[in-house]
Amino acid sequence: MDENNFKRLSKIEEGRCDVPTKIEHNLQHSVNFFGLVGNLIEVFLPSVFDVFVAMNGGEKGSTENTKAGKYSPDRNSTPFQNRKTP
Amino acid sequence: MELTTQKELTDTEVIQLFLKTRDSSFFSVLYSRYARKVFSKCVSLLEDQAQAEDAMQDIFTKIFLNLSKFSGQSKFSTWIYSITYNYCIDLIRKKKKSGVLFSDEMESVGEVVDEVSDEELLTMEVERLKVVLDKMPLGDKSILLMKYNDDMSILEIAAVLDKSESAIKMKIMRAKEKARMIYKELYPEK
Repeated sequence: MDENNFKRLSKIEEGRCDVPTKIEHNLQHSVNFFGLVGNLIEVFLPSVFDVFVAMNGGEKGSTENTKAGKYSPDRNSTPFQNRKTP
Repeated sequence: MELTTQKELTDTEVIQLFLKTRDSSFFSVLYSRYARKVFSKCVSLLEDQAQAEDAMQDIFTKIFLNLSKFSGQSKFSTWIYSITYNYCIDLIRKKKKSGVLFSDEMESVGEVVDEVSDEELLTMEVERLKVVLDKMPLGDKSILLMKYNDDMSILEIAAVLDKSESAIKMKIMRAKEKARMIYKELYPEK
């Protein structure tokens, strides 16, 4: 990368300013917090969804089963299976 | 992963590892690489230390939340600087409440007779360049920094400022002309 006077000036200014350490600490907290929230959503959201399904008269755990293809009505058939060939 | 190994990784590799493992130490690597650069940009654009600190925190939170959207088409540094410029420009616009920062305010400079060569701008003494940039309107200053300091392409600058490529070319030309005018006013001997 060519070093021009804009870049030299930028380097000088970077050297002059100190980034407060509290910013890094706050960011670390935020990253950890968001990570935790992400994990909680990943773990509990499917269960919450199941509860809603159960409350509305659905079968508990049906979302997981459907996802895994266990109760898929078409899982043993192909679209053209029942078509009679001439 | 050991710290020495982490430091040898490219930005893209660090991002991929962070997205895969969610290990915050990878984000710390990115932070340590760009914190100083982003902070000095914020200070330079916002001209206020406390505001720059708040901006810095918001910008890195934005980077963290949007890291999965980084496509790798541009350099990671360019992506980060785009976010930084966008954030600071928005903040200044809100502060000024006029919303006019990059619109056509530069058109009032008048017709540019001859184009200022890059060399003329790039051979200014560093301390003088700083004085000239500080005297320039923020819109002009930002556009010159994006082009000559951060090596952003016309297309990338256009995306940041939400303008057409031809408008950006014109604005760069006018910003260079303005820089030359300020320089001549301040240092008439040259």
